[in-house]
Amino acid sequence: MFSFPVDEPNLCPRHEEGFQLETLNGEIVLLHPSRNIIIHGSQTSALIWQLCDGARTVGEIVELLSAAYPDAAEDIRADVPAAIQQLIHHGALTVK
Amino acid sequence: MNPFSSSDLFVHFAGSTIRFTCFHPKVRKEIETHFAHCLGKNGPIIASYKLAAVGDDLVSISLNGSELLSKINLGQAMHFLMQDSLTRLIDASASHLVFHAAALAYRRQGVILCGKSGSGKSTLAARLTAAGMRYLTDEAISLAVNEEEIGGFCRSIVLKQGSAFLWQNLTAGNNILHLDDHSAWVPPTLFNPTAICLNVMPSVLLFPQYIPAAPLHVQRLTSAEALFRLLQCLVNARNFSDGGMSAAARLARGTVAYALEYSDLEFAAQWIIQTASTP
Repeated sequence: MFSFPVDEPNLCPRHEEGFQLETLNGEIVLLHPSRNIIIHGSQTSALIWQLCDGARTVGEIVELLSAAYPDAAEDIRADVPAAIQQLIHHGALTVK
Repeated sequence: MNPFSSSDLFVHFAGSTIRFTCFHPKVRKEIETHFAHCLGKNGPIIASYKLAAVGDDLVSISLNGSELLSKINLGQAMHFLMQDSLTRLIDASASHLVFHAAALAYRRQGVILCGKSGSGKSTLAARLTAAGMRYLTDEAISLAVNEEEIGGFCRSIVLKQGSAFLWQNLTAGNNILHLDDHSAWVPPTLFNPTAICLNVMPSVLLFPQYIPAAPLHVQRLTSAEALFRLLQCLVNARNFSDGGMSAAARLARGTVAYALEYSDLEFAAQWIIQTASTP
């Protein structure tokens, strides 16, 4: 299993191809029909997914979200890499 | 020239039809009994089974002209036909999403029970039918991609040995088919003569799980949680370019969803009826 270095802020995560996205009341469900992968994500995961465009680094995503939610900045620094790692683990994100 | 013979029976589900050409009177009677509410042509014929008698009690089955099974007993033949024909109907359907689920109706409210084998769908479906709900299916529901109502594969209810208490005291028990694995196929009308419902607007989406000795535990699900679970029960996703996502999401959005853990059948059935009867 690929292990994502959660303390590496310069990686640029991007969506794996073939995923269908549905947003329901802020939460997301991702489906990859041919690989039979189904993922449910919280509102936080939905935001992170949207920001993982292959151009932004993990560090930039953390900074963007920290600026948007300053009261939660400390949690965001821990939660964003963990959420990205989860999405990579499920095959929904890849990094370059 | 009429390509169909009087020996032909047709079973339809999810926009496709299977033809059974029966030269075995006992098999014909069992098909007429246990597929009673999905008989008839509706959509293209996607497979043709020929069922021939071998002696008095054995059956040979061919599919589209090729022999599949020979000299099997009646129960084995029906078990095979039920599984194989449903698989073919599901695989052929590109117009309807098919979910592994039971479904019932209370007045105009449809209740879907989604879950894998062993979750208790059939046992709950039988108990709820006996309690007055109308029966669509204990196995598979269909949702046309552009429609709101669901339909069911309206076969007999297939009950495992552990649920025998539900049918043991029924009258007209000669219509129950007993299989070698001690399961029983029980026509839903034996539980409730006016039970059958062919289509209904879904309003409640349940994900039951039978857990021995567990107290009744109900958890309300968000629409996304419901969709996540619903997609796991979608059995023909590969037939749709979006994997069935948009139609499944519409179903999740339009229903109230719960996860339901239970061990006591009566408590669970009462809760479901109460929930379905609440506007």
